[in-house]
Amino acid sequence: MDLADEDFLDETLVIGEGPEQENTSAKWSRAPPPPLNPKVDTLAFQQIEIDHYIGKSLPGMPGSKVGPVPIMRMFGVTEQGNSVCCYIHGFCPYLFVSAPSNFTNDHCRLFKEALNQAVKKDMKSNPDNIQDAILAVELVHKQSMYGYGGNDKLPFLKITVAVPKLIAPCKRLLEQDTVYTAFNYQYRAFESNIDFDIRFMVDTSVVGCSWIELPPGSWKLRGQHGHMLELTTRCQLEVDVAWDAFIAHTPEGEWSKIAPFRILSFDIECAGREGIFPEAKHDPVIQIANMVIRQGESEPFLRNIFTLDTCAPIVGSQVLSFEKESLMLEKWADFVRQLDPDIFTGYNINNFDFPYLINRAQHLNVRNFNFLGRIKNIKSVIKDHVLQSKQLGRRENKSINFEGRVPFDLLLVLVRDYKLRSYTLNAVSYHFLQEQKEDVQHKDITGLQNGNAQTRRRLAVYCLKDAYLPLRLLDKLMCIIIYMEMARVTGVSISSLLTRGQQIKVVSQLLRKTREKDYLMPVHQGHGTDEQFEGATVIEPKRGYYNDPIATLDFSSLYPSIIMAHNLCYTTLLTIAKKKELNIQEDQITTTPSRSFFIKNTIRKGILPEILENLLAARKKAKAELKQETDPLKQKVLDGRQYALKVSANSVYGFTGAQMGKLPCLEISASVTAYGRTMIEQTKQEVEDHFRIENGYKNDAIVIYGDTDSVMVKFGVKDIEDAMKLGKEAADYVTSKFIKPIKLEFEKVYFPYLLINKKRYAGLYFTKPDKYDKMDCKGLETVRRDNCPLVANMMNTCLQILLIERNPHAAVDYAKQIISDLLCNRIDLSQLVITKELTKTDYAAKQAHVELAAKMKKRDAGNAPKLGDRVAYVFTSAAKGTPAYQKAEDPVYALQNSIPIDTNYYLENQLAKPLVRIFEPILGDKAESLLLKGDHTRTRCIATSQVGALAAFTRKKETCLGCKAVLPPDREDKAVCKHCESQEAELFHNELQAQHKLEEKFSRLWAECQRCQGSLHQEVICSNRDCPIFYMRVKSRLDMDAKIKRIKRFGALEW
Amino acid sequence: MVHTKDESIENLPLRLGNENPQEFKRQDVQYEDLSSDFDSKSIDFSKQFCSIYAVRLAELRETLIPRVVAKWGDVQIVKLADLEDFEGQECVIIGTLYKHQKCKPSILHELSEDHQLALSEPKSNYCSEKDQLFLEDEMLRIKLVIEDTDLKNYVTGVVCAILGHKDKNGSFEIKEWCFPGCVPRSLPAQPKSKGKLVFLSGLDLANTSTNLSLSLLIEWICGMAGEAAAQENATDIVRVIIAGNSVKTVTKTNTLMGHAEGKAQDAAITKEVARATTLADSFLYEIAKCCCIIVMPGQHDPTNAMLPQRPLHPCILPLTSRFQSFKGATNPWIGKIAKRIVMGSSGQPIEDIIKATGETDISPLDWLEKTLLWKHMCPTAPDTLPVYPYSVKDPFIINYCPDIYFVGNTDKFETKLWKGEENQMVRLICIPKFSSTHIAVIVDIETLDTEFICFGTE
Repeated sequence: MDLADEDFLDETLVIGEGPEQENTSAKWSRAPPPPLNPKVDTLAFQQIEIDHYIGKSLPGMPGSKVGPVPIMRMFGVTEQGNSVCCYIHGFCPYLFVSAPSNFTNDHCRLFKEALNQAVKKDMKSNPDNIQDAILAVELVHKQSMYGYGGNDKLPFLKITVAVPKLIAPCKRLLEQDTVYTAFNYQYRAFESNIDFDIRFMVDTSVVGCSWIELPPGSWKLRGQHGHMLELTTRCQLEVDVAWDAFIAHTPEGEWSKIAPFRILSFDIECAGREGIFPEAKHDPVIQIANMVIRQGESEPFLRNIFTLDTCAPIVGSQVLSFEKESLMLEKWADFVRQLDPDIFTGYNINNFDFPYLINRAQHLNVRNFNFLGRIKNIKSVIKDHVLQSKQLGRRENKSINFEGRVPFDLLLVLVRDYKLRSYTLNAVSYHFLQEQKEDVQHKDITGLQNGNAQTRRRLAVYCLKDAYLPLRLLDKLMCIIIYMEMARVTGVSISSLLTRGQQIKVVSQLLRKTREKDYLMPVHQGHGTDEQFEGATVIEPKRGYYNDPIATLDFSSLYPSIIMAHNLCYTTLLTIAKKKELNIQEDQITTTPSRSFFIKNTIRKGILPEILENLLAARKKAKAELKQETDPLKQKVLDGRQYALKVSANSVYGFTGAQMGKLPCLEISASVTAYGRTMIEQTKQEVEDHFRIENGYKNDAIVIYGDTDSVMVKFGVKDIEDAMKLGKEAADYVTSKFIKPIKLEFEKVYFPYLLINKKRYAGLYFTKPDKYDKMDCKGLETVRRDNCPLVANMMNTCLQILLIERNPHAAVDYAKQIISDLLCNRIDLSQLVITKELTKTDYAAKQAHVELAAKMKKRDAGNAPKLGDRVAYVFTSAAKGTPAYQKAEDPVYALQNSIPIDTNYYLENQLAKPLVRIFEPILGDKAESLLLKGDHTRTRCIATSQVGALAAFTRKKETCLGCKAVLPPDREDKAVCKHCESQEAELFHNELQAQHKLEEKFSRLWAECQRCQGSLHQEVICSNRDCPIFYMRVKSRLDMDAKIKRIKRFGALEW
Repeated sequence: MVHTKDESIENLPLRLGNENPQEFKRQDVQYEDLSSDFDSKSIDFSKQFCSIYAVRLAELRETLIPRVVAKWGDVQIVKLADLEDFEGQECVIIGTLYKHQKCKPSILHELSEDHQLALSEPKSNYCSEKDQLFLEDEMLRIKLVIEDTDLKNYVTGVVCAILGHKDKNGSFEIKEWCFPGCVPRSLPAQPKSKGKLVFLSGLDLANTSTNLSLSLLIEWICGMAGEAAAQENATDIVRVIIAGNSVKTVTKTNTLMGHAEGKAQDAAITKEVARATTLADSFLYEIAKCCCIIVMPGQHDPTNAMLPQRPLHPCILPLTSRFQSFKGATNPWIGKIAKRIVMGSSGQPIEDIIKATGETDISPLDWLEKTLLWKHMCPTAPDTLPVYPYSVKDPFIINYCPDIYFVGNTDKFETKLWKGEENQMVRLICIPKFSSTHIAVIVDIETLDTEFICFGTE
């Protein structure tokens, strides 16, 4: 549920005297707009943000003429890139209440006066000086959308109020008090909980990020042609228009284009104190890097950096150095105002960079810093904002108002849309761009800042890169386009997509439909019920390794198609009482498997099915257009759209099931899943009954597994092509047994197929007979996040050998090699590192990463992980019986002090289970003993720790490099013992081969880091622990030293 | 022809083929190894590669400054950090080139591809259309404006001076280049000792030990082939220099990932190398018996990988290592033979430059000449070529003007006499792989005339 939806958004604004707009740099400012004459010119712009404020009515505009009125504000950009603020006048807030049946038009006036009195009396104070709270009461005939009640429309009152905040008291007074004494009637409010901005968008058919056109003569340009209204924003064009006079274009055809929005990506660096996460009260902001790009272009057109203290020039970027931090902040805010960006982006700007800057500026008393939005005199302030959603769980975020600009924090978008192992910018850029970025530790940042202009320049380059990466990721992942298309499809603004849950999207779509059909949406009284309904079904898997083609049949868009096929909707839901009352025949009713009744679509077509039909039809169209389109930018838009449509269609089912939501309807959601279950069962039955030897098929088909919306069928054929043919036949056959538009589709064949358990399987995925598309793994440790990378990598390779090379023997052999490598300490440490975020230190149960963080703090407070950091650790060996949480150690510390790894722990707690799981279907019960015991586990290397109690008393003795026997004192400087002397040359070759490999590795690793940091002459100081070569690099050094020592024992090179 | 191993060292250096032995005496010439900079004593693996770049730039800047003055007069030499004030003005910048190439082999990419199905095809060179050239000094890096066709002439790691100006976009427009140039000749006197040097490379004994060409080669060097005149000619051979890959010309790596198979394959590879090294030992033994020989290791020989590669270890060449006439050398190697300075590598530096430029039409000989002008033997190291992390000095900076400068393991024989502006005269030679061309290269010490002899059997 969106807590923010509960009431209207907090409208308290902090008003101040904002600075005047001054443009000091032609490079920063937007190009001036062309001369416009509202009488003859059309103004078209793409809006990106819509809000409203309470102001004075404008003469000549519709709506109330007296008192305060709500005025809508749209911010956008023209195709030429000029920013526009469009004031829209005359749209008034309203709500509906049910009316007694004998209420007539004559009652309206008296009712209005009574309500007006009651509301005004209810107001404790009246700062806005509202004279008429109730502007109009109108008798209308509509229907509630919840439940079928015949086709007769009922009387409702549409109550128009002066300002949005009066809706809530109206509802309360009418429902709880007696306002109008002429009737003894229990009023029920409808649509009183709709955001005013959404209301406006629905009523004017404006969808998010759509184009708005102001025809000639309908609008006025402020500051020109005698229209001398005050300019209140930092936009280039400020215009006024009546709410019913503009054209809202549907985003299709020409109007699906995207305006050149200015996107500002920035990153700040702070000079923290040792061991403490930077705090705005103490630690200065030292650099702010900025990159500005126009949507649709590939490279930023502006790069600059604000630095505290001098900074050597950076080629390609403007450097602005300041002696005083407060001046730097002031000038940065100035820069933002001149730049006039439409979208702010960056990495974690919402919860770190912006709040830090604002708090710091406040601490330093920086003049005019807070005025970062587009309204001249509104300050940007930080609010804590809790978002609770079923999809994401409870999240605490900060939110900051930037009227007219959209804060688009990439981190939030990624957390919302992608499941990743880690969300640090390093990890994310490696994941999506296969690029590592240099990471500078906090204490190094302070060191570099306190150095000279050159060291600060180094920091600046690093900071600029952090500002640039979000832009590259946005481009690569098409985030902006996908969000804009989502806004267009669901009809809400782009910022509500970011800050609100899933519900608002469905509400917006429902309202658009109900308005069209004279339905009203009731106000759901949120009371959480624990009523549970059965979820999706799973056909018990027949586990095993199938070396046969397995055809997979999928229901396409299962839940949406069930809703459409059975006409499930709020408006078609029938209660038993109503059924009797209206005397509805059985054949006009669908009885769902969960015993709910719905009217058939011959009587009334539901609006949910209609919404879904539109969405799916639009998706089909977008996909078709995508195939035709050749322009890559337009392709991106279409691809974004079809994805948005798919997500939206699927969210409808969730909306009906969200019990804390706006309008839950368990009858619908329970029926949907119940249908889903029976359909899977029925499909299994149909397939197994039809594809039999008796019916002329070569083999009996068996359904080996089925889950939610798909079934896996083994037709018994050996050829992929045959399996595909049968799959298609089966899909068509089963589809014919169901009501349209339910459709079973044949999509792919898995061959071979490894079915491990429910929701755990892997297979080679074929859509065409000659070549596989990919290897598909579900529910296996190839992607899970709480393992060390070794597990995922090993599983992946094992599966590859198993499925692609179809060589189970080699897969087992490979697994043994890994186990042997692990036990002999040959695995790269980075493969063993587990990371966990340090969220709070007071866990009840002892946790490894928390214990380690405490240990590291004792060692070196400056380098210890802080709250919110990800702690990386490895398990090291310790005395028997030591609990696992005490074995965690900092990987770098372990490496440098040769602390031995607890290889057994890794074998037993990390590798064993997943391995046995995938090999059990192949090897049977002996899998465990074959893999985890045996020759390959007998050779073990145990490094000796250089720290620890006993280390001081041990003396290292040289052993023979051939047979590992301890060398007698007279041979200690030799490589081998007497008995191995004959093999000396061969042993030496072994060592040389190893040295060869190590040297190549060392060289490549360090050359890579030198390259990655973008400088040949400067030392690599990166400490990015998410980088796979970070530990390798350290290890490689130690290995090299050890190897050189071994080689030396064969005698010096003298010729 | 099979050489039996029981021949003892006491055998005469020349075996006589007829009844009236006519004795020819092989000459002795002075030899001095000048590769002391390549020793491994000062190697410290805690150092990073930035140090070698730093010392390279510092040393070559000293060389460049007088040249810049001589070439362009009193144009100002500007540090990149100060370039901001020189926008549009003509000036000179000095630094190390860095060629940004997406297709350079990257260990980072390989690691990330670990868990993807299709490994991308290994490219034969590092070039792509998006390559960019930068110049970097101790602090900054600037993008150079350069035509694609011109880009092919430059590689990472070359230190140079550029005349030009900074443009509005923050890039540098190039007007003219200046490189450190070849070292001036220090010895004016020409040696008058007669004699010939024979150069070989890429013998690949792992695969060619029973090859007839190889037997012919031995017989020729040892003066057992041909009539008396030819034998007399053979006595002119004062030294045989083998430039790498005597044992192998390819390196097999363990491709199987399994436990049993992987181990078996590793062992097989070691065994094969050991066997081939034994063959190499007996081959070298044959030559060492009668002629001085210098053996440099190559990329695939059993020694370390980083340049300078260490000489082959005596313990793997038990027969040959007993001879005084045999010298193991580093790769690259510099030596003085009869007052002639001979310098060269077994091929890796030039091979890597060719990959970095993607230019197959230009002869390796031209790159050899370029490295002479760049005053650096292997500029692409450490970027794409493994070298030791030197920090005190860059031993690959060329401090001698060689008389003979060679590169081994090329596809074909090529040579030219390069004449410098300061009276330098350098014999440049590409020594082809013997295993595929059967060619030995002969250089006259006195005249620097160069010819080849082919032991082809077809």
